[in-house]
Amino acid sequence: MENFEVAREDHSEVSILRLKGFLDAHTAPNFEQAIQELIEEKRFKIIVSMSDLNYISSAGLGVFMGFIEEIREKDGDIKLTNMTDKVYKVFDLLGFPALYQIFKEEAEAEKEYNR
Amino acid sequence: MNELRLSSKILIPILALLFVIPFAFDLYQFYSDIPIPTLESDDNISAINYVIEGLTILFSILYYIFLINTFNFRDKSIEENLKIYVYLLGLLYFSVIVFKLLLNPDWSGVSFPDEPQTLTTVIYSNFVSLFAIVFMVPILIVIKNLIYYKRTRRTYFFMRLLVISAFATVISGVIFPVPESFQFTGTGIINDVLFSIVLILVVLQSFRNSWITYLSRKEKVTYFFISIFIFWALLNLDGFAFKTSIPAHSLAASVFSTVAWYFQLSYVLFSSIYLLFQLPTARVFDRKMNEVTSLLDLSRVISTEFDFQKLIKLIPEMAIKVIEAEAMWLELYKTESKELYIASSQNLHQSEIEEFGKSGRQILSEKIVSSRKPILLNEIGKNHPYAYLREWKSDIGSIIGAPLISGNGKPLGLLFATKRHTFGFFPDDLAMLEAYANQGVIALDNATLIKESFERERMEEELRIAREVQQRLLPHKTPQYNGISIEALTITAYEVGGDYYDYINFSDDQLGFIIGDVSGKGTSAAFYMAEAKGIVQSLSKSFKEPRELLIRTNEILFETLERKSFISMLMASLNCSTNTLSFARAGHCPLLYYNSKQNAASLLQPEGIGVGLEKGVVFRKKLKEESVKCQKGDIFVFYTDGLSEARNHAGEEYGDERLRTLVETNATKSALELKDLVIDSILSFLEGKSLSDDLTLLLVKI
Repeated sequence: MENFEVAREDHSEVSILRLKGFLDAHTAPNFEQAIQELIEEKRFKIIVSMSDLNYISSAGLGVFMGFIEEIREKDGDIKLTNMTDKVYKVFDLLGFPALYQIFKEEAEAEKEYNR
Repeated sequence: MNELRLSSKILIPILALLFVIPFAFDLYQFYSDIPIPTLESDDNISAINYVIEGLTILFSILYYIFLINTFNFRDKSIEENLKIYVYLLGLLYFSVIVFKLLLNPDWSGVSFPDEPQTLTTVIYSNFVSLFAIVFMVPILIVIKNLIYYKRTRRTYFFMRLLVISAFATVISGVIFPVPESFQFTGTGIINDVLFSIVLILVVLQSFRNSWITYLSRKEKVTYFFISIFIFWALLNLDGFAFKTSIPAHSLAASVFSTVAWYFQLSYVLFSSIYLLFQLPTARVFDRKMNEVTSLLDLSRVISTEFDFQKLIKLIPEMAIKVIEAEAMWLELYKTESKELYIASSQNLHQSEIEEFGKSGRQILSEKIVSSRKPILLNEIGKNHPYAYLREWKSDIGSIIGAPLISGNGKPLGLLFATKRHTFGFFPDDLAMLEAYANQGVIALDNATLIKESFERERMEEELRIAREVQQRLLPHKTPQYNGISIEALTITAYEVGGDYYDYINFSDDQLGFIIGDVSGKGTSAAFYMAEAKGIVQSLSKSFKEPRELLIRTNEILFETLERKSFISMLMASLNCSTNTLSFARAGHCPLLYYNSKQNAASLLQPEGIGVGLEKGVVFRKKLKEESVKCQKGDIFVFYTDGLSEARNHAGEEYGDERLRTLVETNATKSALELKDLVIDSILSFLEGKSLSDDLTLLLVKI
């Protein structure tokens, strides 16, 4: 089975989740849990950084969709950063750029939150 | 059973007769002044006496057979055997006392054997001899049973040797009527030698009392005191009952009863000594036995109980009895996190343990888990590093804890036991707790494995259903339109993905194609697929433009799809009379188009987001419809990401480009040939690796 890891880093109000490895139907629950924890802690300003993400499947994309409504209702957001071209292609194909803000760097997304 | 009763029926009168004949002879002898056989008596009289002695021996043998046939001596427990023994001995004493009081015997005491002086004495000696045989024979059977508690081939051998030599002693005792004196002189020498052999064998057999080892401590103490009393009673038995009265009646009975008496005396003495020696270790032995049985119990339960919840209750429940702790509890790690929770407890409420506080418990638990060794805290004083345990509950004087380490080395949790007193636990309690923890691990591991295998079975079943649903949803036949050849291919992965394609008959010259991929896998994907197909098919009656149809489909599906689910779709409508293909792409893979005039294939990817991602505003805004004016020889390839993302062993993806090139270079081939080429290409790319997602391909050649 392919590996997947989520690392979390909190910067005042903003939380960064760094994804690594393969995000598919098997590993999606880990990612789901990470976001769930943030929601429980009422940290709704989330950045998902994907520089080390090798692959994302539709189930992985579904995790974003599963929480985005609730997070946006609480004035939060999920911003996506540091995608590799390959991962970006998957997001783009599905039309995610129309639904999520995508940045090159974490700092840009953070700036956007602190604006 | 009938046979057995019959033999008893025959044996009883024979036995009675065998008693009556010597009795009558004794009476006759008493009145007729025939001298009692001595060494000096003449042969004629001895001959009659030998017959009488023979009858007594026969009586004993037949009586033994009668007993063996009538009563089941073999299957008695140790306790039953001992009880029978005490009863028999008591009855023997009682009978002799009653007869002694009633008949008041009187002996001459000049020669050996003594001569009875009165008629009552004759009766007395006859009956005491009878009692000796009647009670001693079953007593010997009981002792034999005790010896045979743990038998080896040697046990049989020595027992047989003992029986044979005892029999020889009886015979020689009859032939040489001299009391056993161990003078080793005169005619008595044979008696004495034989008797010595018997005694040696008796002593040897007396060592065989391993039944004592497995008695409980309480039984050992009780039996020890009883054995002392019995030994004393036995010591007196010979002089009190046997010594003079039996030889007067029968020498055979006398020798037999003497041998039996020595045997008993020796066996009881040795048993008594054994019991005494085992008293100091009895407590430990008891405990060890308890531990073994309880661990056995636990492993038996484990092999039958696979319910995780029941098991976690059972582990402390079974352990508390053996460890003799006042309270016990089991802590386990939560599956998802590294946090411990109280799985079950004995004599201590879950909330009380929780009060102990996560931090306090955690320090102790982490110490045990990290060292992987059990811990024993016997004196939790004020200045003790674990003094906080006292603060939590003042009635915890000592505590032991052992880790539960799974077979793969992963810690599962901990097992704790506490006592009110300080120094409540011994080091061997720790070993015991560890044994329980280890057994517990096996049980819990097994339960988890079983659960997983059930789960897997359930998943397999689900997959089977999903595959079936998927197969039924796909079109059964390819529509026939003039001048268009259509080829479809689906390969289902082990875990069913949500691939789907369909044809829509918009009108006689307008044919619709749909290809889609439901996010996620398994049953839910299959059911969403079914839903999507139904919605698209019914909407297609009113909306004939791909973009409009997708917008309507999204509006309906957004309401019903689970938030994290979505469907990527591509819809196309081919007008056969105008040779125009219009299509819209809702988040799906691009449409591969081969233009025969330009001899070039390209990937068409107009904007559009997946169905079910957004309720409609953005969807409508983003979704673009494109049109392609096509001519003969043009090819359209619809596919799903199962094709473009098919991975080989190196983790490389098949990719759109490979497909595009393949189509471009083989565009002159027929649709069917082209399909086969794609299949070959993918298979050779995969190099035997299986697909992780469904793969769908729809080839349309004008």
